Amino acid sequence: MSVATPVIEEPEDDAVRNYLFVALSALLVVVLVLMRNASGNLLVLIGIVPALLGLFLRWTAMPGVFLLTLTYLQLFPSGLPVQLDAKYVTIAVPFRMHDFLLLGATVVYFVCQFRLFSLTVQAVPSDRLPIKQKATDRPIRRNTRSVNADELYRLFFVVTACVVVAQAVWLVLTIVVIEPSVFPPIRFVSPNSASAEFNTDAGSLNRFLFLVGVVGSSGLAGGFLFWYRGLQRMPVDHARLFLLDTAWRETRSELSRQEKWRAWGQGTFHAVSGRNPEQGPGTLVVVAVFIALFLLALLFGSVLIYAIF
Amino acid sequence: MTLRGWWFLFVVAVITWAGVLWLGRWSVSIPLLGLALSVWFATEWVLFQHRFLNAADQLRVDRTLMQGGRVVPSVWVGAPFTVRLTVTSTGSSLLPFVVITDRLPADFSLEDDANQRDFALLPGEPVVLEYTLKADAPGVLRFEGVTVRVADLAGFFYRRIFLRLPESFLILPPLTDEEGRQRTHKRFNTLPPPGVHRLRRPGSGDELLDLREYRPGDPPKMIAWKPSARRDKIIVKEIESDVPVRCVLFLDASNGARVGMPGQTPVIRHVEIGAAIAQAATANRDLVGLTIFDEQTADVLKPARTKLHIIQMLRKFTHAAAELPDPLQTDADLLARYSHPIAQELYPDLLRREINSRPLGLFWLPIVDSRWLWLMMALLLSPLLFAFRGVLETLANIASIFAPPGKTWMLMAAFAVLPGVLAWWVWFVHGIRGLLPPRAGRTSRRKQLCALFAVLDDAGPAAIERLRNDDAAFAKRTTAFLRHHQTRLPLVMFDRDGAYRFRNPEKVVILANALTQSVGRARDNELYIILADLLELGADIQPLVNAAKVARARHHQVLVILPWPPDVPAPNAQVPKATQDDAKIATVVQSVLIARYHRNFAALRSALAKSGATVVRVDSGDPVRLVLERLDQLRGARIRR
Repeated sequence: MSVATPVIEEPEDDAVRNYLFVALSALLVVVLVLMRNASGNLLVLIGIVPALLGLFLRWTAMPGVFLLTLTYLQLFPSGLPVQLDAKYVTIAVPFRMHDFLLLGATVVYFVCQFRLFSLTVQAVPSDRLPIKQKATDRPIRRNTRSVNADELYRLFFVVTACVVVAQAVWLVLTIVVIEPSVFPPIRFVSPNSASAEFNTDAGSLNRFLFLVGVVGSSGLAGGFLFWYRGLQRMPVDHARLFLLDTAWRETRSELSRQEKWRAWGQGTFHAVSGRNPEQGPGTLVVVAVFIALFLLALLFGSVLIYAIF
Repeated sequence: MTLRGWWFLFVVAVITWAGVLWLGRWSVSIPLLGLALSVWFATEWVLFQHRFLNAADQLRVDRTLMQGGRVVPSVWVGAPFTVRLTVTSTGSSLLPFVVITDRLPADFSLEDDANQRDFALLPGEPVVLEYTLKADAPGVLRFEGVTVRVADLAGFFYRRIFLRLPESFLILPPLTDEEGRQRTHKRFNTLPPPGVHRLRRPGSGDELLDLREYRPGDPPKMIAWKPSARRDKIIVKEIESDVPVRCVLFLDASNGARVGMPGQTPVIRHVEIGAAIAQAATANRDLVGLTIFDEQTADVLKPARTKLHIIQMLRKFTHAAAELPDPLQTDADLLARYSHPIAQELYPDLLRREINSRPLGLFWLPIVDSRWLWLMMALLLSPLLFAFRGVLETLANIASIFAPPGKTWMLMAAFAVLPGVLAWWVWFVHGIRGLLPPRAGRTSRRKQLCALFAVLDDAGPAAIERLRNDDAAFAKRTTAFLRHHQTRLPLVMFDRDGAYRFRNPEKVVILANALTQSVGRARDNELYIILADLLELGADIQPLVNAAKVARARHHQVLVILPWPPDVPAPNAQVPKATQDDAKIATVVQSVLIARYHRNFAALRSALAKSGATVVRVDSGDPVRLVLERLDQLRGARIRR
């Protein structure tokens, strides 16, 4: 049992330091992999500058910038833009060691970076819209006391699993061929023959379609499962309101008509029609405006016909 | 999903799709990078959904109030108390990051957000949130529930739920120390012991009342031997009767008495005074009764002096002080604007679109409910005018002027078609306005609230439509909803004619009847203390004057304690008069209102003084001390009835 005390804690403590050091270590690995790809070119160090800005200055846009920079450095390892066509990949082999290192280190960095944001910047969105926020509103940060000691261990397990799954998905993407004209429309090929078709447009499209199918079906299945689980756990008052609302939607027109008749009987029909005599112009003004509009339309139509003919 | 989550997903999705479709040809690491981050994101989503569904709605919350180191069922004004909230997850999953915020009762605030804390919730392991509050006025402490924000550690996903746990605790008026309020100086040399006063009737007291001849049946111990010897016949003593001093409080709990700043309303000030009087009088062993009246009824608590009676009185005082004023507001839209944020805060789950729908047809304004229908009908039927030769010839002449020769029929056709087009345009413009702000927001808010009220009232779908269409019913239900959740509404104090809207003249009749009934029930001389706001009543005070006369005729005493606003100077103080040079209208209005207040006070005091009642202001000296002195006078007076 833990007891909360009304003391505002500063986030600078062990939990923050641990995440910071792990993220820096991950960035070091990223730098080493990038330098290996660039044959020791120190220009790749620029690539981790956004990540460092995110870590030390807590700029929340920096992880995205870092990801884009990393992508750029994968395309142009030396950091300088060169002709792309000359550097086609000849073989799509998954489970390479430097991919493992790069992916693992990158994901570790992102995990640490976003958890640091939760600890130091903001953990949950504000209840008010940004334009409606008051100066006294303080962002809700994660309390460092609630950081479990085994979070980091679990982080490494999760990251390792993610990297392995990503490699496996990539492997499947490269060996699956979709041919709608034959049955079955999906067939597997050996990795060698897959590498031969890797750089063709058909191969790219094949991978793309298969990935769309996998993501779509997984998302639908997951969404359906959670939706069904939510229905199973629906509280009583939710279920009652759901039924009530459905009944109201089905009988709305009849009920509305009854209410209008009742209002007519009570002489309070203006309340039903939503007309508030204290708001907006009077009926006479509105009718006059409409008559004027009608005459204008008449005149416009006449002029138009005259101009045409 | 949070904004952070959407941005991350967008960047990762772009890189993944671009890598798979195009960039992967040059570097396999790019799609792998995208895929790895996508898998991590999907893992976080699955974990968050699983944890939320298995734990977030299975939180058990227990709240206790502690004062002086022990759990209490009610708290006292002015004494700090600790709110202890224990949250236990009965689900099967760990919630790594939960922010728990206990919603503070109305009129309470904390600067350091001590009522909010984040935890990692393990199944079956309770967490405790503690914070300290202090009540400044008697009333009811109503806790609505707990806001629970659940998020993942990276801040990609977030859900906010509200665990409704309505609980009410009484804030009892300040407990007066028994010695503090007792009399400190003796004004009468022949005061009887506390709790009694002498009544000149034969009884079983201590003081000699009279001597009389012996009657068969008189106890021998009452024989006065010396007078018997002197007169040579048996004379017996008659002893005075000792009766308790009784005091009855009449508390005004009408709507007008609840108007004022939070914690400074007349009823709260009266409750504080009444509670002090009751406790002090009970400490003097005097009997105290209570009658709480409003515009409709009077609730009577017979005089007694037990501790249980005092606790019961304090509870009644507290309930009277806790009531919020009925704003007498009939603007349905205004009420909806006030109640919708409360509903969103307390019932966010019941306002969700999935179960509280707003179909598109709801927003369309039907033209049949409007007077525009007549215009539309006129436009649609206007081509029938062509049946009249005169109209047809006139239009033909007009057409011949504007149209080229031989093409007149086209202009005539336009004359026939244009009104219809215009009619449908009127229909469309009229209907589409319902989908535009501010009507759309208004309609949406009202439908959500109506469905919510129908569920809370356990009513059917007809209730939704009734509340949606009937402004009066909606205003009544919304006002009840807001008062139930202790939400204050802006009050309009004066009507268009300048009359005070919270006079409540009906309460005078109720008060007068209650006073007369108390006189009828009285056994001996009593003190009636009226704690009421009577200043705005003017001539309507007459029933009370008559009742006071009845009480005085029976040798009772009547004391009226009136509330006095803190920003109004005392009647004998110098009031700055507004001059013509004073440009501020507020100053002029204030001076006029103060003068009116003083005038009303003088008139009321004069009217009640004629009946023998004493009128004092709350802020004039110590009303409690004055009441105790009156009780002493009653105790010391040797009154024959």
